[in-house]
Amino acid sequence: MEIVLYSIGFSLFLAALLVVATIYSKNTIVKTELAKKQLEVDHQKELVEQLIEVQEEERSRIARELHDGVNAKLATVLLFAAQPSEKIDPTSISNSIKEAMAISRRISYDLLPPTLESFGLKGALFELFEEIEEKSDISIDIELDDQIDEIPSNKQLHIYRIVQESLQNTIKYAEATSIQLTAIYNNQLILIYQDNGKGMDFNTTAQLGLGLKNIAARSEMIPAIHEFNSAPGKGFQTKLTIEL
Amino acid sequence: MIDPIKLIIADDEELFRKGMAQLVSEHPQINVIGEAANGEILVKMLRAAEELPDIILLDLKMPEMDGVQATKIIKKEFPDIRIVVLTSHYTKIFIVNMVHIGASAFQRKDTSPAGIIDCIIEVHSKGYHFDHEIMKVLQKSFASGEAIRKTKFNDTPLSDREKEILRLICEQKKTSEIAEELFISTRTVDGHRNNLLLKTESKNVAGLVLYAIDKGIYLI
Repeated sequence: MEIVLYSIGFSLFLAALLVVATIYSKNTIVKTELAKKQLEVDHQKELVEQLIEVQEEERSRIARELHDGVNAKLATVLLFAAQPSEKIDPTSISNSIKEAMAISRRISYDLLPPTLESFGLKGALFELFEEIEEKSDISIDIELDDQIDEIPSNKQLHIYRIVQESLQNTIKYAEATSIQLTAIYNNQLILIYQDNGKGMDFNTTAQLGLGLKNIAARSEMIPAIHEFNSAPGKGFQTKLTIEL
Repeated sequence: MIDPIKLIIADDEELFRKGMAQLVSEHPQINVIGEAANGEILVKMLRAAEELPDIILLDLKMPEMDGVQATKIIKKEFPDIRIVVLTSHYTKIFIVNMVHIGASAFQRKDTSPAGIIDCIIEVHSKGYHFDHEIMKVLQKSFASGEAIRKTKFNDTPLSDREKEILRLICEQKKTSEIAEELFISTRTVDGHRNNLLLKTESKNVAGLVLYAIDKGIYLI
């Protein structure tokens, strides 16, 4: 009798232990999952913050150009037009308007390049480099697989901005004399942007600049894997790998 | 009395359309037969038209259907209509792509009315009009092969006579002037021009000029 009672008691004890252990381990799993989620949320938050920072920078630049450029030209026109009619000089009025048009053209091109919209990424990238070749002494070597025009258009825009950002970095900091851009397609698309400038040392640089953060954020949105490869005197490379 | 040039103006800005219609109508040779506020209206208008225009003055940025889409459709359904594109985007890649889908000329919106009228008349008599600025853009060596490759020119060799005629076309000569210079009939010139279009797979004379510049047949 006693033995039976003991064994029932022991079984109950075991069952209770099992319940406690299960709850505990479930809790642990929930906790680790929570921690993982938290990390993801933090990361997303960081990403959004970076994008907003870049966007705000861009907005203040556009605001400046609209105010100092377009508005200033139009104010001049207004001043010309307010003169007595015999003193109005149509040439200076139309010149000021033409200048205002040129600035607004520039702003609208920066916001969304017409070639990208109408003829795709390949043409738009060529156009971007056509301008660099024309306005600087940097020599350009560019080779792009036709396949890049098959990428969905929202992703094309991200890739375009990433190349544009890399180009800005080269022009601002690198003192480079040549830039190479290649896109190879083989199940996945590999895009490599390489300049031959002075490069940077990731060991001594505390954190990435706004431009590189922007590249990182955009490539996550594609989604693509991005790599920055550089060392002092070794140029700078941005590499994107995109599964298509 | 020469038949007037029938023109349609497509632009989403009503005041621009009206102003432009009034200005170009002052020229005795130009007759504005219609206006459209976007690409969709323009295409519908052409499909229902009893009288087709010779030339369309076409803005690129329009709601509903933009000028690029409209150009593609119009050149497919009405290949004889010539298109003068209103754009300020003068890059080699863009111009070459636009010619490839069938544009015959480019004008900035801030061109003088006289400039636009000249352009319309040139396009009507010679099939294209590239001003000095466009020629300079096309001359650039950058990405030349890439830009032109999109137009898929094929490599059928041209005869010496065809090259000669192509050069004269590039010099903006009219059919009658070419015929006179080479002591041949205008019909022979037309025949050569058609062969050139076929051989180079160009949609129009503007495409022929791009080909000539790219292959070094015409040096600016």
